[in-house]
Amino acid sequence: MLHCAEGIGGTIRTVFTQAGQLAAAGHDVEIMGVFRRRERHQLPLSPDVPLHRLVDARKGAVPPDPAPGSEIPAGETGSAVYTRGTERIVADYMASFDRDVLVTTRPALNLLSARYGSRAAVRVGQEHWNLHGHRPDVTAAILADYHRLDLVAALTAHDAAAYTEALPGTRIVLMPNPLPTLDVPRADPDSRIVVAAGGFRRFKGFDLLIRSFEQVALRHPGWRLRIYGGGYDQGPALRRQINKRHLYNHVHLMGQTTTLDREYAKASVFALSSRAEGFGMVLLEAMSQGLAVASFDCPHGPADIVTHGRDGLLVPPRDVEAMAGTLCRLIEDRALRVRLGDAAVEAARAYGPGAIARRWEGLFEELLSERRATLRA
Amino acid sequence: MAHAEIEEVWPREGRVRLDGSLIDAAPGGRLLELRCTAPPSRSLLHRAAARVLRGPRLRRFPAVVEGTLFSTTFPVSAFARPRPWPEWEMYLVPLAAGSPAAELRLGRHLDDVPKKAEVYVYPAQKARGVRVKPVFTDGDHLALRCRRAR
Repeated sequence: MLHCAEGIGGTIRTVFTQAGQLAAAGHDVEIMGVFRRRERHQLPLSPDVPLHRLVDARKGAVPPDPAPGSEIPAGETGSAVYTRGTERIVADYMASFDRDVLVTTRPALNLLSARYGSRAAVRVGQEHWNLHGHRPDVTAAILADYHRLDLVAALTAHDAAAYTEALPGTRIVLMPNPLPTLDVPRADPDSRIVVAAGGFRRFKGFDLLIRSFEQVALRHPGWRLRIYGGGYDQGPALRRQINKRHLYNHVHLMGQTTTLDREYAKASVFALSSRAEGFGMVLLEAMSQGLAVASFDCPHGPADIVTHGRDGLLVPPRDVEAMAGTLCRLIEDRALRVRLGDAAVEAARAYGPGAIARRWEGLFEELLSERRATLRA
Repeated sequence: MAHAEIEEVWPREGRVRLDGSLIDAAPGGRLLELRCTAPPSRSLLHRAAARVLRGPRLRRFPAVVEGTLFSTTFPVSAFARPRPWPEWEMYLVPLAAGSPAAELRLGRHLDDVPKKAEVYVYPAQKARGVRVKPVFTDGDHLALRCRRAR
């Protein structure tokens, strides 16, 4: 289940990838989107995976009972759209769910599944953000109700440990996001381009990266930084920063692209400058293409994905000087770029869609056989 | 196509420096001239008034060549007028006697970036009541956009 299947974002892409892989392995998989926002979904989805929705939220549609709902904490993103009518529809769907496994993907849906989901089904809640990164009311609801789920899946080792500590007796599993494919173009180690990507939001730290690259450009004036992305509210501030520091010949805001893999392949170095991450999908994607990566060791994700010195370099978080030094080290040492890039391609294989789908399959089978044993007893 | 490929644009302290390389063109000497030309106004009446208010439609600045690399710097005050011409096209022209007078238009045509006008963005410079901003056109040529500075 997804909040909405028609947007463009990490959770939707991850769910589409997982569903497609499980369907290809012969399972009967469907995606249920709560809100239908558009006629068609935008991200690619396997034709073997039917997509359904519970509530029509397109323009002109009449919303079900618009009175405010009572189930979802106000601090949950988008909680306002969970009206009383919507909550009832979602809870009814979950209560009458007659398949084997119900997977939900964000706190609003995880909480409803915990409270109302059919006890005959195995109910899995996926968490895409760290426990204490939620608003306090969301964290409180999670602590009160997630224990009723059969399994909570976290994206990073740190999150898995935090949920395990906070929810004694609840089964927690570490399950990273899968790459959509391993069939991607390789980076060019001779390119003099450093690449970064993400929404123009403060937590992505592109302001820190631009300051780092100011030092890089002084030492290596032939190198360029390309930042792919857009949206949100940081774009004009980043442009002002580039102008003020006279970096307009060295740092380029490239805009959004639907073919990020082709753009990655033109670069030799990737930088992740985030102040915080849920996982760090752009980092993993860069590694799968053999880029030499430099990443702030921010909470949480990069330290799970990168083995420092082996398949990438970790940098103390928010340390502009250290990021500049690390980028220069990669720029000055082609052999290091090649060695890290080769190791990164190998490391990324563990996150291939097939590998992650097999881990899910194993988990589902284990949970289902336990469920059958309980029902027999 | 012979042209002058822009690599770096440096608008700083009231001046603009342009660095790049000559493509498919032999300079025939160490000195070139940067010629900035403003397209003429459409109406006759406008033309007469424009000559007075906007001044000549040509500005010339020296440029130097080293191998195939060129560099040129000009002060933006050269474009100051009560009503500056709004847009200038830019060409490099050889100065050496006897060299073919082939104009090399300034632009950026050799890299992979599809929309130069959106990606290569430079700050404007102000001097003597004029604001001058180097921009890439839809055809990926370099141009100067001028307006009165507030």
